[in-house]
Amino acid sequence: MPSSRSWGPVERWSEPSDEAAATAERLRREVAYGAAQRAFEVRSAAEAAEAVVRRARGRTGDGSVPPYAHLAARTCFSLRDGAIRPRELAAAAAAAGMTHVAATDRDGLYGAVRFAQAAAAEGVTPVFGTDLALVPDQERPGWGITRAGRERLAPAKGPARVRRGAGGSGSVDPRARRPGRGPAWLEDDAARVILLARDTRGYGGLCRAVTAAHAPDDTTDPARPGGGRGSPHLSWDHVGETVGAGGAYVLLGTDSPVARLIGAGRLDAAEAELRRWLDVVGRDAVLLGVRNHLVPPGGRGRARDDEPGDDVRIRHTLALADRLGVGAVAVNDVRYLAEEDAFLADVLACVRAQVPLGTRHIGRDTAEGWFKTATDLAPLFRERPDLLQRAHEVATSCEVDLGIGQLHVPRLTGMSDEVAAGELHRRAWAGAADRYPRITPAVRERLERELAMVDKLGLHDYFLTVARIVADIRELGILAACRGSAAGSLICYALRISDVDPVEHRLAFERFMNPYRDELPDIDVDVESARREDVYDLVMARYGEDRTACVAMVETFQARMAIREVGKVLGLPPDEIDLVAKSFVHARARDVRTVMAELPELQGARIDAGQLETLFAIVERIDGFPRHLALHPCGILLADRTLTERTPLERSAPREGGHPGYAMSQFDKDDVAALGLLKLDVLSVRMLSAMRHALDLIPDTRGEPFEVDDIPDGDPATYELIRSARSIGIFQIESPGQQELLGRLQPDHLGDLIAEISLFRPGPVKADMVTPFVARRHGAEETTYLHPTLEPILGETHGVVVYHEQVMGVLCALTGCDMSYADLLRRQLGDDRKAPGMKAWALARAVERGFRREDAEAIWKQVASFASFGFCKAHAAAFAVPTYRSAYLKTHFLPEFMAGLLTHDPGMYPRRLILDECRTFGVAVLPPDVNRSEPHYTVEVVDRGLADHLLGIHGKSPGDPLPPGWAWSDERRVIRLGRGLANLQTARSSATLLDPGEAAPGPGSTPVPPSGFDAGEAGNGYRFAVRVGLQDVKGVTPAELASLQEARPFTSLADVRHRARLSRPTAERLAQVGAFDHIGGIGRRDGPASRPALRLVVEELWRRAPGKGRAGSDRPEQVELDLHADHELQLPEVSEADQVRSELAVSGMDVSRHVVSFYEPLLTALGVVRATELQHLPVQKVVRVAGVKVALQSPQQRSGQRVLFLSLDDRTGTTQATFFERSLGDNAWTVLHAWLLVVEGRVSRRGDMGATVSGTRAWDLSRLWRAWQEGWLPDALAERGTPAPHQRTTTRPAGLRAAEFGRGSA
Amino acid sequence: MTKRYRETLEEVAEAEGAPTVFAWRGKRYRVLEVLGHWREDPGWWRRPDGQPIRIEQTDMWRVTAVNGSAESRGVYELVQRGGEWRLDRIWD
Repeated sequence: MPSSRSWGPVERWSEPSDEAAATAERLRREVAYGAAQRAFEVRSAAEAAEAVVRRARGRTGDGSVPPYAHLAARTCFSLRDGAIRPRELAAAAAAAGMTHVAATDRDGLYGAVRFAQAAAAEGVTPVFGTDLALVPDQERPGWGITRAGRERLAPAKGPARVRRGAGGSGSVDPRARRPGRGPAWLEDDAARVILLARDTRGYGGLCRAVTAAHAPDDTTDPARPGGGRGSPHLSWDHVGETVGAGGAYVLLGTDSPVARLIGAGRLDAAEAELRRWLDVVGRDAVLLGVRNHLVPPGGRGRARDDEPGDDVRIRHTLALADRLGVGAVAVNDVRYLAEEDAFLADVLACVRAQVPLGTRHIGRDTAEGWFKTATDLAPLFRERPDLLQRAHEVATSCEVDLGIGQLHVPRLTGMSDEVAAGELHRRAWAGAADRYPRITPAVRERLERELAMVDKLGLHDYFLTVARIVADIRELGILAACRGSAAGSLICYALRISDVDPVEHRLAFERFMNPYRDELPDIDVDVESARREDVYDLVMARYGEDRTACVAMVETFQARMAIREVGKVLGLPPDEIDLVAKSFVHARARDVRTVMAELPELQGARIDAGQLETLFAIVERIDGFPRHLALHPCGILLADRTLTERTPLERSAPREGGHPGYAMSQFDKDDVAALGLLKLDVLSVRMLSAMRHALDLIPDTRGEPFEVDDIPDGDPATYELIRSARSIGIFQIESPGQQELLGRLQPDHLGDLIAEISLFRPGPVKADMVTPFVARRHGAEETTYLHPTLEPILGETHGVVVYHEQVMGVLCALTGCDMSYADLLRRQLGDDRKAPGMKAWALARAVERGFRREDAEAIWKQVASFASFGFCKAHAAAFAVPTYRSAYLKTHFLPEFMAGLLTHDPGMYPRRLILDECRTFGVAVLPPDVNRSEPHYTVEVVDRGLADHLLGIHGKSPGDPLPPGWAWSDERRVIRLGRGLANLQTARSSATLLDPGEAAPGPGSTPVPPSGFDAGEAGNGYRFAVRVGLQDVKGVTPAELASLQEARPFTSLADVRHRARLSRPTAERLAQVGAFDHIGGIGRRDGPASRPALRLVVEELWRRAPGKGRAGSDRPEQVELDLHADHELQLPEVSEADQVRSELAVSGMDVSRHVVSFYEPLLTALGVVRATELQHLPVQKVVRVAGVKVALQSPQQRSGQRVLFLSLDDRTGTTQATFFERSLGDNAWTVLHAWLLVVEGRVSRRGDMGATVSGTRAWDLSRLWRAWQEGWLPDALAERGTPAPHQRTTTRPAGLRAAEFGRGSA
Repeated sequence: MTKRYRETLEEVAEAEGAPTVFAWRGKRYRVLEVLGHWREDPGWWRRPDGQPIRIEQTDMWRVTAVNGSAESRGVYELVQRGGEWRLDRIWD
């Protein structure tokens, strides 16, 4: 999740509730986006075809036009080059009467799969090609370059490279490897060739050629210079090896070495060069491309005055072709569809080169590179119509089958089919025996059925391989969890790929493996985010880079990026671009105008309307074009050695720590799925890292190790905590909405968690499936079934259809079909065209099977209406496992778990709320300390006195005042959590439940934290506390952290100065967050009085050069500055408020005191109610609540109403406030912009728990504070609406990123 | 020898986009042969702000033409821009 969201007006977009939901949300968006994108592509293709037809209609041809096919066309998958979508190209070709058309993308085959699909849809035959640069060679005529290009800055290593190529000796000019020749900010101008695949073998050659061009230089063999990452170049040797093997054409076009020599008037050299190509790839395979772009002599603007125009070039080229008997074809180097679209290609060229638009930067002479039809081209080749004819013939001779729609199950284990099958059966049965105390008939029957299906699909290798990989991952000590429909498979459970018992939870494996579907089952594995790359390395190491590769992700131009990039090439002022761009986050580029019109922020901006008009005209058009290929965050291809023949590979960006990056397919996940390649999704999940962190801390804090496998099922204390809805930090169920649902649902077993996760989806929420479910679950409503046969299927959810599995089950019951077929039906239920036919069939079957027609219809209606809302139970069950486990850790090892959350930050809330969560559970927070803090967050056992001091508890006995939300244990029930492992093992639950009045051990009554749970007790007068780590101090580098850790412990500030390598800003910030408090002696009699005083000392120390003799002596000289001298005298009394303010600024966390605590007097004056008190208030009572904004969400409502969901943290818990559309006018600006808020509204409540506030008014707390201090509070309370621009003062801590205060809000 | 003119032509007949007949200084010239046809476009980004983006093509035709009298036979460079025809140069 990107963390650098900025604070903009775009908060209205809903944000997912936590990490897993974020993934789900992203996938959902991707699906929604995918559908919209497909619709858009179909439409744009239709428009493209229409345009071609329209042009043709308006023209009177002479009728005798030869057939033609474009052999050179760059689509938008040339990545910032072509401006045609593959489907548009195919549609235009079809409309122009072409039977074939080629896509020859720059540097790769990025668009090949989409082009194949588009061509199939449009009814033309695709020709696959690629346009590759050649390795510069100054010694070889036509291969030289005139500018080096910034991509090739890497200096040649060692002595000059010696080539021993097929064409004789020579060396790669070292000048080609450094800048200095020509403008280095442009990419190099290496010669290029186009390769076309004639057959499937040739396509394999193309894949290998692209891979070779992208491969880094082979340092062991100087004869094989590669292009290197980001600058692909094909070497002469590779030409021979890849396309010389046959099955491909080499099209020498205008940028080829031959054409360059012709252009330079070196006709003899051109001939010699051409002969070399003929020798290596064969006469049949070489084509000379002839292009007539009507370029005047001297090129654009007559800048190259000695160069011939296109007419002369063509004449020379044709003469050469005829002399050597080489085929010549007409090409047009198409890069955009229509004549008037040349500007798109220009913009993309300049965006690619990062240069302003200019004649010399656009890389074209004339604007003729549009999609011309044979009729358009015929006049240009009037004398040689055979060139058109020949292009057509070449195209028709190409026939490549990418294998779309076929499945490729690789042989990964190296076993023969029979052996692998035997092995899988053996291990599945052995695993099942291990998992179940007794193999029941149900288990036996299920496993037999699954194994039969695997036999049928031939997937033995796949299961064995995934099981192997998962076992390897666990062996590395990495937490892994299976996600998705694979959790429905008993084989996966038996092989320990998944941890959900599919028999117990009634999960269907047909959602996972289905013989009716032509796709391979997908197994997704979640791993710790911090260790994902270790997993990649492991897989790559085990199977090798010729069998495994990562999947690419195509990054496209989205509004924001498009505006920035286009604005830059248009030369607009950076500030203005920034202002415009910041207004867009999720908006698609083609929506910019609409969004602009809605954004009041931009209306006052002084941006030239004309410039904006131009900017948007371009941005709209390049929207959605691919711009960059990135590593997909999870997919790994598992294949056999044919992988390199089926997909071109390049290298992903290098990782940190010198890792060279991964072999990455040029295809994305959809392409890969279409090709039928097998993919293992390894998703990185921060929650797993957080859990791992907690487990790693436990041996130290509790004296005994604890592992996930030690977590017992069905722990009552865990469910007690879950039912309290204090779920912040728990996987999947921490969002405000989930908290509310927890309160209503009151889960008490894993099945409830599965239901909870399934119900909290947009569909079920919109359809309000929650209300009947909750009512029936608690017996408030009678559970009924439409037909008795449905009871066994719907019983688990009280008659409500919640899961896909249930939809399938009902369909089976109705029609008697099997589950696999039911899954197929379910998938088509949402299809309006297919549904009526299915309905008639299903009803007929049902009547045959003895249903009454009315019953059958009613059942069908119910199923059909819920089919689209339902959630795959296997998915939910797979999620529920980490949900339960994290809840268990929170219950029994809360301090450690919180340290994990703080370190890895998996959830939706800012870190400071997690700190507050610690406090509301009675766990103190220790400030960072150079001698005690690790980079990450840790847990310490501290003296009760210190803990109480940190928690703000000063009272000693019942009746003494306590901080807000706290109570004495004789007034309120307390649940003590995590009393150590001894209890855990004996009592199965470590929680001891004490009723009010029941004497707590020790001094009668003890303070009860606001949550009602006390997780801080460490026994014997000690308590647990979380020590803040140093990792989140702004600007601190890993090297500085390492140097601190090495040199510890420090005896004084001067010692830190001497032995740790800290920059001055870092040292100052460490002082600000309190990391030097102890060592600097704050509070000691002779120490500085306050942090600002200490900071002055630090400034002083770090301004000087570090003392001498650093190497000689470990003991620093006693250069103790007079810590107690004048400094603090010059300072005014420093308040704690300043201290908290700088803590927030530097680390985003209020460590020493909750920020709301400073406003207590005002909150009292305003009559503000605490989060803990809210629960006890009657519905409809008008109340005021206050707190720090921790989340702000605005989910899309079905009604189209805009609603803001605000979560406020007031140090006793979080309060949810809802603002409906009618109250937004008065309050939206404040809610969006203020950080500290007071909200007035009515209490509303659904279910027993979870009172919320329906907001009618909102104020900025800090503004009210100022008003109160200055005596104009009534005026401030009367303010509403959006303030005038000059009055827009909102307070949030300086330097605090928006993301840190309300992750859900940006 | 080259003469430069840059004079607007009132009347130009075209066939398939190529000029066949043009009138200049009151005389009708017949195109005998097209020697060259090139195109140019000034940078569209140089248009004033707010104007719609448009690629303005300039077609240059180098033709042999004659107006009836033998000495008028020569190479004429005709320029077409935005529907307007212009005579730029004459080689005779």
